[in-house]
Amino acid sequence: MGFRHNNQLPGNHFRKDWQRRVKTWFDQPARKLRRRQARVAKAAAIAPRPVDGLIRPAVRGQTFKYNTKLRAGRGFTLDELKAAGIRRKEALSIGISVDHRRKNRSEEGLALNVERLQAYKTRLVVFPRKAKKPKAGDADAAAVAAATQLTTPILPVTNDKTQTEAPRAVVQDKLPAFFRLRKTWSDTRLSGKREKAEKK
Amino acid sequence: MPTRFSQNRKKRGNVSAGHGRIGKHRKHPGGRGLAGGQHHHRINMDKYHPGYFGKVGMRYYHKTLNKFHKPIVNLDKIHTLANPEHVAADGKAIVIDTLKAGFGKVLAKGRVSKPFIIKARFVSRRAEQKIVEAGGKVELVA
Repeated sequence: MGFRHNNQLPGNHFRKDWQRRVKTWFDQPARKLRRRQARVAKAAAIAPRPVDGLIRPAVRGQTFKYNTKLRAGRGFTLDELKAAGIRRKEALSIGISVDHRRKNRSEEGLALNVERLQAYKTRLVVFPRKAKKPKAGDADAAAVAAATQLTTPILPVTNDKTQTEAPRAVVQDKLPAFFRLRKTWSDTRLSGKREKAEKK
Repeated sequence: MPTRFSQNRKKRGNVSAGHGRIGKHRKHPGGRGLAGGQHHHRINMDKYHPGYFGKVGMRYYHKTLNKFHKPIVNLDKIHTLANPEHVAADGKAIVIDTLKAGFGKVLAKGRVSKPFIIKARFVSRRAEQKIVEAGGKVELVA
């Protein structure tokens, strides 16, 4: 007799050797300390450069779900650097990340990152390699002396959700939005069939 | 309880000790666990657990769920998305970008009393009807 009456069906997995896969977190406090020490050590090692590392571009997320959101990307494209007047090799030397694979697909995206680069440049303090012989483009001695290491994120990428568009007059479209949605939907669905019909 | 008080003491020496000669006291006569759901336990399964066996629906290869991302907002909540600093004056309507607020589709529950310009990725037929009747409009955004 396996089971009787209206009871929940058994779903037991007695043969699973679960104790073998248990993960303990006893090292969590020590790990926290270790990470903290590593961060402090890194900050000291790269001083006076920003703790955050390189400046990253603002990029759109991928897919329908995330393409409304901005986030930090890997590096600035060559086009963006060119528009901001920064050479590729120079960029890496002044803390700007470069990604030669990313492409600028919209003018807005390009403009946004060029603006970002220019904002970065205005706040940038380039230390001379040799303190006694500053080259062109290096910051002057006073700025170098006044410079401190930046501990906050460099120009963090934010998503502003406030409704900014001002009130305006209502001008009705010729066709309702719902109709246009349905039309687009059916056009997309039928596109293959129509193409085929046209070929005949 | 000590063994000497157990009722079973009286059955000692008997052949089957109350467990029967024919059926016998065996370990798992019907099989262990869920054995026999489609065979000798079919009656119980069909009676108390209908739908346990079989599949439902069509197969859908490589179903990525991001493309189905479409959080909904109803008309009864839509005014809460508006910027409180904006005032609709001299025939102008407040603009509400539902996509910016994180919504994918505007649905028709509730009433609209004021004209709004509503920007949305998708809108239902009745929602648009209500918005337009209140003097507003729907603008589609990607």
